[in-house]
Amino acid sequence: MKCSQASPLTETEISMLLDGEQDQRLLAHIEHCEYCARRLHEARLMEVEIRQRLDRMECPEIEELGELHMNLLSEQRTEELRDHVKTCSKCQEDLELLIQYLDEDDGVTTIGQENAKVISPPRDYFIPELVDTPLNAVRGKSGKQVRARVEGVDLLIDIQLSAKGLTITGTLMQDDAFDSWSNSIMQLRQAGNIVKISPLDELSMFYCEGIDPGNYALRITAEDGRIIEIPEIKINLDF
Amino acid sequence: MTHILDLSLEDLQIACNKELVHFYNDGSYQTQACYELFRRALEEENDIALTMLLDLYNRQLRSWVTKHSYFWLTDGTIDDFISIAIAKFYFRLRGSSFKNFSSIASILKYLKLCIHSAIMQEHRKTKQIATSSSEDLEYELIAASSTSDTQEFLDIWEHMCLLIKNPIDQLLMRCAFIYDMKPAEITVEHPNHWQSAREVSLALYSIRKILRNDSILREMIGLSVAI
Repeated sequence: MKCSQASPLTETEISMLLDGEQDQRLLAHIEHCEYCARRLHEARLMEVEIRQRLDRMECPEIEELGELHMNLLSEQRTEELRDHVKTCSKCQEDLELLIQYLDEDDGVTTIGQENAKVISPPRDYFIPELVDTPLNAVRGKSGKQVRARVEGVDLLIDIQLSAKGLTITGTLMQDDAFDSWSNSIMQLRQAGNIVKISPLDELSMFYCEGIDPGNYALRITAEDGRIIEIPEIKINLDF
Repeated sequence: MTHILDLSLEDLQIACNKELVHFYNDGSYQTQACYELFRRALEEENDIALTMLLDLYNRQLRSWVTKHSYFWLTDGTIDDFISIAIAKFYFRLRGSSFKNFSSIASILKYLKLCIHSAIMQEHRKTKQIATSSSEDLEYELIAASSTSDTQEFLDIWEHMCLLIKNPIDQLLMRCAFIYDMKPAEITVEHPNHWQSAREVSLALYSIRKILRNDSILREMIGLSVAI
């Protein structure tokens, strides 16, 4: 294919169009020349791919922007972030939104509004299949083990009877050693209410005691937003 | 009179509940019991105290989520965002970090910040449509940010810096590709390097040419066919 106009657009002219230049001559050329339009399209595709991958590469986490606003950062970090925010329009918008949200009235919304939202599981929301049901995997008379596997993670839950009632000890084992779940919390829920909560330790283990026998939902949430949920787990010693 | 520090967790839970009822009913602001419950949950890392607090502040947390304007734009549920926020909150304020928070107001502000962060984090992950500056072309982008992506974009940036070695050109590349600045904005920000938008475009042209012709970079960003 060749340029249908007198001469093809130069690389500089393509670059100007990429930068949003509204030059009528260049725009008319693109409109009438399939060859140069394709060159521009391919150049833009590369540009978009690069921008997409580098998007917010140097931006701080939102919590850190909040910490900047709340004066919780060291002097050096405060200065670094202020310099960054000065030149980053996205962080300026984030900070503005954050301040507006933090400073708005904290009155409690009436119940019912929350039902208006169509709910679907977000990304990184894993519902594992139980490998062994609680009834199958017996570990002696005083306890049993539940096993589940999802997305490269094995979850082992030991249920034991102790002086404080039922206790559970959970361990997450990842196929990928770098994909840590250590900064996560485990929640036991009944009828949507949190009845027990336990942070995972450095070894991705949790421990919880004094649990009443019954059916629970068990949820593990990482601070980066990943969630593992077992919608129903029987915590009892029935075999 | 029993000192607040001597109260059992159960007694603190009752006292904190009373403080909250007073706060919601008449705006009175007694916070010692709630603060002490937070201290035990976070500084002493007591899971039972943490569970009690989540129960006590459940209404407030739900309200914060539903009032967030971006909540309605994400796929997450109220419980998802509360769970994520609690994980963030706990791991940032536990142990000695708690000492930076001397009042209930500052603790709750941080908790609210974590709700905001959880929602915005999810919002960033969701699909975004980015419309290019040209009217006839639209590109659909998936803006994802996770640990693996962090390494990916560092690798891409390092490779770009190997291709474009001149520090001034690297500055221009940073302005254009990371900060998404238009040529006119770049001239305002760095007038000592570039005096006009056209000058920026010319400088960018040389950079783009090198980047476009590099097969490794094209492969890194998923464009295998050479132009």
